[in-house]
Amino acid sequence: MPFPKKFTLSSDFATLSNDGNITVQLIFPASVSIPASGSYSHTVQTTATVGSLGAVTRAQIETSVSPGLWFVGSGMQYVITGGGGVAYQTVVQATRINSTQVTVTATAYNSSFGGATLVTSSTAQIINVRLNTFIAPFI
Amino acid sequence: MTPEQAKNTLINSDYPTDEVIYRTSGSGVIGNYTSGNLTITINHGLPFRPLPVVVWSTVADFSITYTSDSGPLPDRPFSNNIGLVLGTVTDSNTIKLNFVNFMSTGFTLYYRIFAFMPSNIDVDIAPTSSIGNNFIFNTDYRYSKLFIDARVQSVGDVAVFDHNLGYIPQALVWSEYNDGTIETPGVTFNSDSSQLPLGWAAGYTMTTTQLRVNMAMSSYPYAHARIYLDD
Repeated sequence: MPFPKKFTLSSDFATLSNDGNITVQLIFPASVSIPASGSYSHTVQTTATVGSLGAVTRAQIETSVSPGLWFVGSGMQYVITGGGGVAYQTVVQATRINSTQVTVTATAYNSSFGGATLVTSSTAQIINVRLNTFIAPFI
Repeated sequence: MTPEQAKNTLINSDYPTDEVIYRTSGSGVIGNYTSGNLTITINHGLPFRPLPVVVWSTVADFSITYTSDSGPLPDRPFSNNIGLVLGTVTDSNTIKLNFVNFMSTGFTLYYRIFAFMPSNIDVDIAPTSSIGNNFIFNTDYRYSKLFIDARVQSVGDVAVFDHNLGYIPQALVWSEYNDGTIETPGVTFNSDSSQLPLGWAAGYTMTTTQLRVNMAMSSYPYAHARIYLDD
């Protein structure tokens, strides 16, 4: 019966196989008008082909709001100031949509239901998402 | 060989590979948003609380695979950012999967769990590799090289792991509650008073020198992290 930590490499224990990686970039445009009706939001998205069938996706997300700071996880939200000094929320999410593709979306929300149109930040936001996939020890 | 050179190797005997010490799989049925809660309790049978990674899917062949902090896009407006979410809690006997469904339809959910041994535990464990024709190591793939495997106490609700690699590495993180219960990062919002992005995986952020775990509550005194050379 082996002690796992005594070995650097051990064929007695399953391990994880890295099979793909890619970095995608989204640009959320400046000064987008979001009405306080309908969807109350504006979304930009891109789709990346990464990983093989059944691969597990790990994501890290960086935004131009905090350059050099990478959020470890498939989703995050941040608050930013738009027109008229109004603070609003933007949600970034990496979601696997089929066996080979991951969709990355950034959605800004106007939370003033029935209120004024929101104009997003006058600076375009650059969002970088690193996607790494690995094959879990079940295949 | 420097860490930056080693990270480009497939396997490197200077750095341990991941050793999976536990595996299980199963399924359950969850109703739509009107009744959409499902808890699956698994007895792990280990003499310690493992660090689990949960992989789940709404299809049996796992062609679309989610982790604890991801899920399908919602099909109902203003319901949630993610249509079906998972929270995972591990205690000394069980791993509990707590699913919440915000979607208009129910699902059969399929899960796979594998786990690591915490850095503060070192015990004998039965092998998890299968005997026969399956490869443990295959040169078609790159294997993660473990650089830091640690359990760190939080100071002021923040646990810091200094890696100083000079680039952004891969990492897995877990929170430890004050009774020893392990929580896997899930879809819960966390706040950070220092204007960092609000995260829904308990606010784990990485720079070229540090992994910071924003615990947000003093009831989570420890964080566990596995930081790899691989980027």
